[in-house]
Amino acid sequence: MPLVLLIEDHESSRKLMRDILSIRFDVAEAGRADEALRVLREKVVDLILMDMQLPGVDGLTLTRQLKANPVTQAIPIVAVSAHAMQQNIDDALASGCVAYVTKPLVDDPFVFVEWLSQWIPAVPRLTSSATPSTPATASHA
Amino acid sequence: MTETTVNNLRRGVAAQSAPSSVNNSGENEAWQMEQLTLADMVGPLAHELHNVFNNMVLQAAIVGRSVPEPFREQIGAFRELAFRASKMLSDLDTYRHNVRFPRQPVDLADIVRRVIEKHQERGLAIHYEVQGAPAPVLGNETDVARLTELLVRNAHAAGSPVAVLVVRAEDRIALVVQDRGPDVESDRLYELFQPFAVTRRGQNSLERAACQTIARRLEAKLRATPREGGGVAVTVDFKSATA
Repeated sequence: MPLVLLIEDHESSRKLMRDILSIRFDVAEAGRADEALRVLREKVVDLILMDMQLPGVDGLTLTRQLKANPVTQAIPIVAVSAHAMQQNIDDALASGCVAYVTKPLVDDPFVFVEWLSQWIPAVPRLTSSATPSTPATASHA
Repeated sequence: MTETTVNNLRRGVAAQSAPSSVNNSGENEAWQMEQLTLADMVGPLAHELHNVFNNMVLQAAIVGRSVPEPFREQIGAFRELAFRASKMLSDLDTYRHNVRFPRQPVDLADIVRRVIEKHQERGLAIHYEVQGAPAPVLGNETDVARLTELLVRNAHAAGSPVAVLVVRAEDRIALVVQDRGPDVESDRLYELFQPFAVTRRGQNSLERAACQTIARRLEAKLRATPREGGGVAVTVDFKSATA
């Protein structure tokens, strides 16, 4: 199964989301930016679900770092945040996120998991443009 | 929630009747500052509540798959309630977020000096030092003063003596607030700015979380590091007004 890296500092949220994601994906977890970077060094990740409000290095900064790194720049990142302000959405998409999802999830979480699978690249990352079929211009809210 | 947090919230609620009874401009200014700080505490609180509501939605989805049909409608209604509550919170937070002061060049060293003088007038010992040539930062006096006040207040609560440093170098302008309170393990320092994490007795976790809110608004970077010889140093790297 594709591997999703779930970056979420809130432990109980992470556990619940992991349970839901695991019906469709393998799931690696990180609660902070440094933990996420460690996972990315050790595993081949197909998609990142990124909480934008992390302690220390925030999700936006981490996204910019990953997009500036040739090794990780092709991994699709879906931003997740409680903030639904347009500026937050614009910043996340400008930093390289393919979509922006607000908490709590509007859709049935199991439908959301299916929706996520569209962002999984079909071919190996390092040789692929990894562009999903749907343009990333709108938030999934 | 710590006792200090609860007391501060009570103090904030009690102060809501203050404007008509406060004639002294200094007290009125202090009251306004406390109100703004309470507003900045809403941000971290809202973040926690959103996570709670999100957990309810996720939990309901998981439970909803295994309960008999008659209960699924109730689970759906439960999810809808959690979502609506969260939406109301978002609207409130958006309103609060949009009420902000315009940013302009301000003299960090001067603002910090005035905050420290107020503490010194109350008999608190603070070592204050300014390094480098004058250089303005981008911000506003109210936010910078409140950020300084909250950091200094919580540094005192953690443990004296407190030292405050304004560093003005070519590539950075920073405020450093150092205390001699209990050490915090390096991998738990980030918890100092979490709204409900109790890392050091006496500190107000919501005020510390509000520091993060204010710093983000100022586009400043806030971080905590161990202080040499014991204690914690909190550094705020400001955006230069001349960059």
